[in-house]
Amino acid sequence: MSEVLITIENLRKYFPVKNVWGTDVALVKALDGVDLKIDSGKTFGIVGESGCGKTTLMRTLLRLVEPTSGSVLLSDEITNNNFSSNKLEELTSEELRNFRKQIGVVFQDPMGALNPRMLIKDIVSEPLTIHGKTEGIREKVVWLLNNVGLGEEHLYRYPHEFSGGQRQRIVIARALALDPKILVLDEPTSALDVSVQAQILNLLNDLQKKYDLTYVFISHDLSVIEYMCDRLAVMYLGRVVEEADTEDLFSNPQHPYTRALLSATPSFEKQKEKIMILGDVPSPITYLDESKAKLATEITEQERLEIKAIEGKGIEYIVRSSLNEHLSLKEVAPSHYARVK
Amino acid sequence: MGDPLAAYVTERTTDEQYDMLAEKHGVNEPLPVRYVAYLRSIITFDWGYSQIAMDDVSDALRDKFAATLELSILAFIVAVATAVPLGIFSSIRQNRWEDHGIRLFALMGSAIPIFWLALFLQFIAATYTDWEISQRVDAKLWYTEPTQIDTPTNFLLIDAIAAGSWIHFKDALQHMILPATVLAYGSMATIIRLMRGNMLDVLGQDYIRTAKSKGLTERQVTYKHGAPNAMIPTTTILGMGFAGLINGSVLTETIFTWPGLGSWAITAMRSMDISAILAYTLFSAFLYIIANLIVDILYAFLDPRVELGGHLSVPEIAIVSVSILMLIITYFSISIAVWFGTFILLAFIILTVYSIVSRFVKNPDDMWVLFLFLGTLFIVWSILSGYFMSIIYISSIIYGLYLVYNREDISKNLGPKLDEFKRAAYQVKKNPLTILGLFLVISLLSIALFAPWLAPPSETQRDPMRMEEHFEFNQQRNFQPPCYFSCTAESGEVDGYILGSTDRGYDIYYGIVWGSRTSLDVAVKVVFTGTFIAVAIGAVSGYYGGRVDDVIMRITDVFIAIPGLVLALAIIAVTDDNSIEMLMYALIIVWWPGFTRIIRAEALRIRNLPYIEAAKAAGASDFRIIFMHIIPNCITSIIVIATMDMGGIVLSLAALGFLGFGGGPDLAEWGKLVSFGQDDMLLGSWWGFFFPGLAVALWALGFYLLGDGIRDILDPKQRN
Amino acid sequence: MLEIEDLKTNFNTYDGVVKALNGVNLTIKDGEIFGLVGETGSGKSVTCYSALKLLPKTGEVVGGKIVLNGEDITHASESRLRQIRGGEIGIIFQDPLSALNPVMTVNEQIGEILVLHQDEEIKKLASEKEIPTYKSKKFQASPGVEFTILAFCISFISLFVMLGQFTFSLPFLFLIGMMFLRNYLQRDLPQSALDLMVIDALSRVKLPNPEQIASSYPHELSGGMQQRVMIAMALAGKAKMLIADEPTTALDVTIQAQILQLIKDIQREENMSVLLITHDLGVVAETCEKVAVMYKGKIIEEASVNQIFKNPQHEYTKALIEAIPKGGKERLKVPDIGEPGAI
Repeated sequence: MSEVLITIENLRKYFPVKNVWGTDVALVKALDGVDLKIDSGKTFGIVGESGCGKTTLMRTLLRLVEPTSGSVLLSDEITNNNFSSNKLEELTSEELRNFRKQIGVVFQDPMGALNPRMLIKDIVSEPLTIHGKTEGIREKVVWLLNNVGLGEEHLYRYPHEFSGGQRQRIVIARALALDPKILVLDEPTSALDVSVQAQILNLLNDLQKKYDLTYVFISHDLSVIEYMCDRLAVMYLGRVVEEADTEDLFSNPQHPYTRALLSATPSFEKQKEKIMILGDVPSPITYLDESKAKLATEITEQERLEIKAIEGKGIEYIVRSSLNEHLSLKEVAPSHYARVK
Repeated sequence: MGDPLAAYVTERTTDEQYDMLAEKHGVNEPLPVRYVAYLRSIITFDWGYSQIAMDDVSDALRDKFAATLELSILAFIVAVATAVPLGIFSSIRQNRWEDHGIRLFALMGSAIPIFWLALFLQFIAATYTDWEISQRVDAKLWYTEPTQIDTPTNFLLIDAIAAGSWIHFKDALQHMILPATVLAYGSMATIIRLMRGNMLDVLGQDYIRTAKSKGLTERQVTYKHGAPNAMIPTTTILGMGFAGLINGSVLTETIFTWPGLGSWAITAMRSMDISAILAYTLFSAFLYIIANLIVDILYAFLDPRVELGGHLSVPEIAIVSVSILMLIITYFSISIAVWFGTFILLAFIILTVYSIVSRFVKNPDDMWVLFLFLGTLFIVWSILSGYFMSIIYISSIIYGLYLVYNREDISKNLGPKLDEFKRAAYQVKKNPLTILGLFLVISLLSIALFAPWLAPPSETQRDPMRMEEHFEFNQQRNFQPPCYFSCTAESGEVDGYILGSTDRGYDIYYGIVWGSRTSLDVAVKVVFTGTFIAVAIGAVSGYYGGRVDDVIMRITDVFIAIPGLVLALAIIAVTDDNSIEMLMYALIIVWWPGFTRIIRAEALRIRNLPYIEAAKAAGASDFRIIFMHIIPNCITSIIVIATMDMGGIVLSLAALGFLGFGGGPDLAEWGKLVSFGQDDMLLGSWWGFFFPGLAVALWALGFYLLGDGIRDILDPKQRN
Repeated sequence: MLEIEDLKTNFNTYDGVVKALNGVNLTIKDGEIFGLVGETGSGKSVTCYSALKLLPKTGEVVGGKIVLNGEDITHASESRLRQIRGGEIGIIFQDPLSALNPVMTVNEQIGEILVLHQDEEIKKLASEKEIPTYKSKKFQASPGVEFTILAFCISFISLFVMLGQFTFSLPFLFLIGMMFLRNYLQRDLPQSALDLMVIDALSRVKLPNPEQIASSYPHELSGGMQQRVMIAMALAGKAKMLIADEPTTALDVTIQAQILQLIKDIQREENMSVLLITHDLGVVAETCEKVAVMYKGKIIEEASVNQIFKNPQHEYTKALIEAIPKGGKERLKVPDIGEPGAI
């Protein structure tokens, strides 16, 4: 067991929905009680469909949004016992700046993540300038660019001159500028082609080995997650439904949603038996009004129709409405947790 | 401040009579009491007495409103009905000669001063046709027996139809055609440009491709799928268009002596008829708000994605309910209302100060915002007081030193910038209209620069900006026709007026040449000041959002609710200071809210982009994000708007000058020259209004074309 | 069904002419699902837009031959092409929300294609059942909108009455009257033949409650439903071939599985040909029978699905398959190819 770097405890983030009079009538539960432990030097994966709260989790982890409740605990390795508190939400602004030196971010859309009016040199050196490390800045930038497979000749260029993969390399170089311990990767390859994706994934693996980095890898693509991650959490509607080591989870999925998700991923390797999920993703809005509050667990009209279409074809299926039931996380196997009965 | 009793006072008024008047109108009371009393009279529809209309203000409003509304509605219908199809057509024929033609036509509509177009049409109509060029109707026909008819609605076209009289209808229509055309052309231009832009946007959308893939014809795709979607953003601007009509009606009505609100307001402003000015200003704000309400409803109809409503915040509810309470109290007792109002105001001020202070105490990092505003104020002050140029010189020297110090880095930086520049030059070459704009702007700026050589002032002239009068009393009419290039006598002396003279003997050529300096001075100062204020406030407001944003946006709302020209006129009239400086201040006050809103919208868009998030995650301060990320990415809009408004400001300046505001009568200023020309127009001196007006039009056209071109060049969508 | 021979397409850009297609050959037989795979910029979408002449203004087909059911449509007239689009070939796009017109109801958008390509059926149905042909409830304002309008009208009327200008309130009275009149006239309009056909089209793609969906706007539906509506629309003209351009890229995996299942079902039920354009080899493997790999505007390999994954011939195909991360942790093999736009 390696050392735990960040512990997330019962993290909740609710976005209020207001009516005409400005009072809250409903909540969008982007995060609904998330507990995670992120190990040092490993890659932790978070997988889920759009709207499941994985991006909100990332933003909360960076304290770009304030959580509604719960906390993010930092280990001594990050705080160096210099901070007034080990809780992220209690840090002073000076300590927050210090914390942000140790955590780098790579975003999904490499074009949007680069300011179109800045030269590459300025983009990569920005974190250094912010934290006042202006000595030998040029050498450092060249070193960073070399590290991600770019060179000195790219310093004086604008982002729009680069291809998608090269832009993502620039983003990675910027994230590494302050020698962080953790790199948060939010869908780093989903905007890229397969061959470019392979290059970026290789690069990330090399960097991790070289600098002993901890990755938090967020993605919706299970094949990428399986390739990259040591441990992994599956999220559904703001909750972690299953958490286990990667091999464990892929070989022995417990939660029905995980099983369906695994089988839904198209692949040409092995002909798996399919488990279809029927129905549409329910809206994450929870009404404060008690009568509307609970997500219905009975089968909806659409699901009934789809069941009818699929019956008799020998295809296994689950329905979305059955996933709405509240269950607590149980340890089904050693360090393998799932929300099952 | 102007004397509120000016309208009642004549030379023979004694002091005692003056005191009696003052008491009667409550002028001696303290200001808060007078304010509340006025509030009360507004809600009881007792809007005072207008000396000009010789009637109660509310009655005068009622009488004149119909005249203005009839004209405006006709103009509006004409404008929308012609502009929308033209805009669509222009977008289908993008970058072909039809498109260039329509764009030029539209730009000219924005650039040609409305008063000049009006005079031009009037002159043509008076010279070559027997059309009516003034008044609303032939009074003899309508109001005397035996042809008199009832005018119950005071919409004369409707009344004529109701009376079934073709003669009356024709007469009313004949009177309306010219002013309606003039009014329509201005708003048409805006709608065409918007419609074209929106249509181009929409035609690039995915659902247009879907529609084509269904097998619909090009025409069906354009009109069924393209146009309705393009109409949605166009509709939002129609409310603004209506404000433009109210602005325009002031000028049009004055020229065509149309008995409507606009001409009444101008007369009132010239003779300090305070109650009329206030009532008119309030009323046009009211009209504008109603127009925007209608637009909002229309918007919800057109776009199913929009839902009426949204949500109110607690402070909004509080402010609205306090205001209503205040009005109710006012209705019952003035003295309680005064106390109540004072209390509320005090409480509001304390609350604001408290929240600002507590914010800064909590986040001491944010103190820079305060310094930003102080810095902006300093720059504004330096521009207005004339020290701006020295600041520019000093900072360019410092910048030069910086460049020399970092020359290696700079030379490498220059490479990619040069590429951008080459690309821009290539695009300019492709667009003939931009070249035309550039040419116009450069030539007008050189006229301003070389004024002392182009039109040397005579030796007796103290101030070259003040024109000299050349009275020649032996002649009945003092205006001289232009002699163009044959003015030079054999001795080399100029012995005539190159572009003619006005009745007072002002040399029009001299006025145009030196007037370019006035225009440049005012335009540069207003645009620079406005830009600094707008960028500082807009960027902060858009970036922080929330409460700060709310407050700033409500403040801009107040300014925007009153049509620009009317507000500027009201400021000048009420302060009773007819100098060019006051006019400049008025223009700044009118101009900054529009700028601010655009910059704020840009900042709001940019702050949600991932690279802002990336900078935040790297630990960048708000200061850095605003200055390194938000403002550099707004720069395109800032440059485009500033360029276009260089033209727009001169149009407003000329319009105000034409109405007789801004500087003494001998100041070299284009609008003023046009108004001198107007006096003699019907006596055949067309040059008096034609040449100065042409100068205004070319100035505005040049800057509009240039701004349009810059937008096309800098727009990232144009790449690839 | 569809044959493409030596198709060449150019784009005119600022940097000069870009050759998007360099001679593409493709044959799609009746009743087969054909996959076209390639990375960004390989020309897979351009192929299908070129075939139907749906290219943007800068694009131009400069050579080749397109044959549909034995008919050479390379130089077909615009009106013949319009019959083909929607009538014989239906297309669905990547992002259903932006591919559906936001201001038209589903009913109107599907109705449009029915009127274009199924007009006779509609008339036949109308005369059989003795119901109106096209007429239907067009605009359904929500009660909130109507209430707001009513409130504004009443306040304007009272304002003008107070000002003593009753005449100004006439248009507002007229507006109120029109509102009530419309509600009265439309109180129970029978469903027209067109409506029935639309509902039929929607139930073919297994949408629950098709009547309600027909009267809603695209933004009111979920992503999966939107894509189903797109498919219903593409099939409404009784097309015999479906071109699906990245139909599931914008959707989640579980929804993707549903949509792919739907496409397979419909293909089987109606014996259609499907051209599936995608960048995802997994999708091809699960859905298609034959597949072609595109690279730099050319088809470099064409084979049955089983063959291509078991025994890829071309270097690029091999590299592409190996670049996909699979269970193991070994280093990914990166194809040695240039990326478009790289410096």
